[in-house]
Amino acid sequence: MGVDLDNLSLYEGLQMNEVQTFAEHMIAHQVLKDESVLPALSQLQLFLGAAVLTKSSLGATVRKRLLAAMVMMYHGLCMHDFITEGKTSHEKRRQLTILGGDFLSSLFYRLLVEAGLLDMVKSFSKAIVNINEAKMSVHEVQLNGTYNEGDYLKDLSTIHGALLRALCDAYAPFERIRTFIDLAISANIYDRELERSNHAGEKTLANVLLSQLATEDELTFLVMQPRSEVGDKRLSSLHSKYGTMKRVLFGFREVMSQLENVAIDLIGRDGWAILERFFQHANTGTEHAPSMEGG
Amino acid sequence: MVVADLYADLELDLAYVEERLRDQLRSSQPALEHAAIHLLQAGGKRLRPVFVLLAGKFGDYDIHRLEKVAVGLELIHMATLVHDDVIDNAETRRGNPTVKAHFGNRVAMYTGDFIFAQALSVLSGISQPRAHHILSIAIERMCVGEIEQIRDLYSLQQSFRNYLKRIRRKTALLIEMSCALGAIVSDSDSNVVSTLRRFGYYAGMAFQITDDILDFTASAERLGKPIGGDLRQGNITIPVLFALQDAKRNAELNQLISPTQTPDQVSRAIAIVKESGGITSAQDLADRYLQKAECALASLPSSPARDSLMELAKFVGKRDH
Repeated sequence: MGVDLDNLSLYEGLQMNEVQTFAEHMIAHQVLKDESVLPALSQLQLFLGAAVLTKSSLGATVRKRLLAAMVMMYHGLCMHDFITEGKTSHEKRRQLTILGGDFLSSLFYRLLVEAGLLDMVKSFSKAIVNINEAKMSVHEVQLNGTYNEGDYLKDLSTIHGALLRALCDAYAPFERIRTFIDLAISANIYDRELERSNHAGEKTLANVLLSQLATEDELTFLVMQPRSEVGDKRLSSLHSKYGTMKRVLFGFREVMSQLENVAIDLIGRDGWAILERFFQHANTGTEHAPSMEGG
Repeated sequence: MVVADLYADLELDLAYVEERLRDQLRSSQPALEHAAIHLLQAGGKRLRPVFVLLAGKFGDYDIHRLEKVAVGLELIHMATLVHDDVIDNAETRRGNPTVKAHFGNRVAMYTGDFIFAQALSVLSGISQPRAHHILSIAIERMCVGEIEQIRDLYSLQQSFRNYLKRIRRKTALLIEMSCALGAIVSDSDSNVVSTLRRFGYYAGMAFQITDDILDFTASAERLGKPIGGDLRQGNITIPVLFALQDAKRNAELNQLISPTQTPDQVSRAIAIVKESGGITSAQDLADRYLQKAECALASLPSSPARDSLMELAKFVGKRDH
């Protein structure tokens, strides 16, 4: 669509690449760079954060630090999701992923203090508590039919949207902005889910849907440990049988349609054209859904 | 005076801090609260709160202001412990299973992040911007210290200076902050704040050097975790650096300590360090930091709080577990 996201203006004189470069420079500890544990910062989070701050009276410098702080905390927490159980052959990388996440969290606090935004430390802290509670809920649940897609989407919406909502509460406590953020995060969740592999035991939207639809016997393939080729094939055929990926795609299209209406109203057609580019499956037709079944 | 007396003097306020710590670990997610409380119940010396409260005695002592610092810093300490145990694959701490061992790595990561968020929430109630300014820089440096510790694993060529810089960041900074912030929130004179901060730094250095010594000399029962853990992880501490100064031992230690070291090689390396006099040299260094801590305190007016701080510093620099 001809929009250069890097040069996207987030505010008068403040561009996407300026915030990104600033944040990337801060997190670029040589040891973390050498081990390639640093994340690519989410442009969607930055774009949405900037949209929330549109009407605030914050100057460009404070705005830059606030957005950088938020995106650093978001990634600091995300990095810890890569830590799995058991030993790994890349011990140093595992250790630095933990410490890298902690480092990004520490920069979050420093940036907010430097920007004189102590109130935001408090608001974001509450959001971080909620994020970890939601992560723990997802971690704890069993795919036995007691956990439904509504619960799952709500938990993921907290994980990816709580920091943005804290920003909304502080700088744009308006229903339509909140709805806009909720829909954008929801679209992002569906978009990611369309990319995920639905292996046994994995908490994915398709697997959660399957856990609601499958019979008791079929459910055994959903939680099968250890995983096997035969089990994965059977699981894949169950996803085809119940059309779970098609449901995920329908959900995505529905949310995108609602988002389009709200976004055009709030950020205009040009803004929507930019936002749409953040979603990989924005132009995927429903006819492609069957090819995505299983995984 | 013995250390138990220090705690006795602060008994009521420490009980209040403990209660507030517990409050902060409550969660609407039962499993998360369970993991966090598991860590709290494992106990600990609560050194940071004690430093905060004693530093507060040099100004306008108000437990409701000091509690924010004491609870906030102890929560930061707890959050780092949970993540450190995942980094080190540690099974026990203070004789109890770690959060990681009991609940798994993922839960430990979420618990640490949850506790860190609660710490920031409590600390955000401190009204003095100066406190946040120095603390935010300190927390960032602590993280950098931990990262550099991983970088320096198995590095036998590292300098004493490098080691000292690392332990300052890893441990001394939080004790330094406990003293400085305790004084700041009590509206102490700026000279008092800087003196207490300096004292905290020296006491913190003595604390970590002693910790590194105990990893060689204590019994596993007293330590609450297996001895020799540092060397097993490849963490080169001050007793090893002293032992490496002897050319003959240097050659042997260079052969023994490596990422592929066997348990037998670690045992032999520990024995060499013990024979070398490295422990005594390390203890001398810890004593020198304690003397500096004492000198710093000497510039403050005589008071029971000053005596208590010195006793506390001696305890952490001379402890046997």
